[in-house]
Amino acid sequence: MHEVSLIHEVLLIANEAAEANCITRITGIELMIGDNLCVMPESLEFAFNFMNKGKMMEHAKLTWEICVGREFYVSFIEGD
Amino acid sequence: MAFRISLHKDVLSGNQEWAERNLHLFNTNQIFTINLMSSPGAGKTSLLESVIPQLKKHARLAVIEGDLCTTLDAERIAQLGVRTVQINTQGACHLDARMINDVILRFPLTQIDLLIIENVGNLVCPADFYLGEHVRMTVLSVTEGADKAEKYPSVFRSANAILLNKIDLLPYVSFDLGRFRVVMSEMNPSAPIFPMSATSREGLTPWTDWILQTMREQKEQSE
Repeated sequence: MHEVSLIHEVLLIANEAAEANCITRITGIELMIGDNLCVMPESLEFAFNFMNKGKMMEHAKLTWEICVGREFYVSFIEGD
Repeated sequence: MAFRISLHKDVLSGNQEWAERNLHLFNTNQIFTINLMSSPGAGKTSLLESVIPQLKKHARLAVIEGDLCTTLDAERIAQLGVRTVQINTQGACHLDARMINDVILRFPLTQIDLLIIENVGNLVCPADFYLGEHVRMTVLSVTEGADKAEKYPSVFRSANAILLNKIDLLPYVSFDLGRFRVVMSEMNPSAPIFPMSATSREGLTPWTDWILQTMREQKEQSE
């Protein structure tokens, strides 16, 4: 699938949630990835590690869980 | 001290929202919309060229063509006297709902009954981007091999109808039609398979009949 455009959406979601909760530094983002989607978690991580530069999630760790089906969502963010 | 914000926020919600806007426009204007998908060269445009003259007798048509580059396909369809818009994705390998929403108002919506969106040739990504269509059709040509449904399940599993094209070439290729039917009966038992050929014109009538019948049923449901 399109890991770069997917990470772009993830960053928007994380940014919006951080601003809504007065978080200025995101330290972690966890995704739930359905095993029936054509999404490569390692490619997501690769895209994340260059697209997060200069942003509030620059030092965040991207983690994920795999579930059965076609869901793909941001489970949570962590920060301070 | 770090704290956690639970979200459960769908990453593809952006596309879903645009798709629902499109669907609302289609339903409000009584436009039955088809998303036509296949690999490059399976025959989507040729099939449309073959059936548009017949479909035009029963419905006011419009077509959206999706390709990375060129207006070649839109030019072919426009020659048949059908309102056509070409989307050039400039690198994106699928159409998304926002792209459709950007062009849909170029059409006089109250003067259209049937909109066919010919997606970018790709057996992978289009399946994951709902455009707001009522029906999805996936084209497979016999020259591609009978194992493609198993190798690219999403686009075959999510289809409402399977168009098996180039059947005039069956004597010359090793396409196992029996195996393909068994695989599809397990993967997507409710999707009819329409064997056809845009070149020899065999099998086109059952397909166009199905389109017109499904369109009538959709309009009855929305009344």
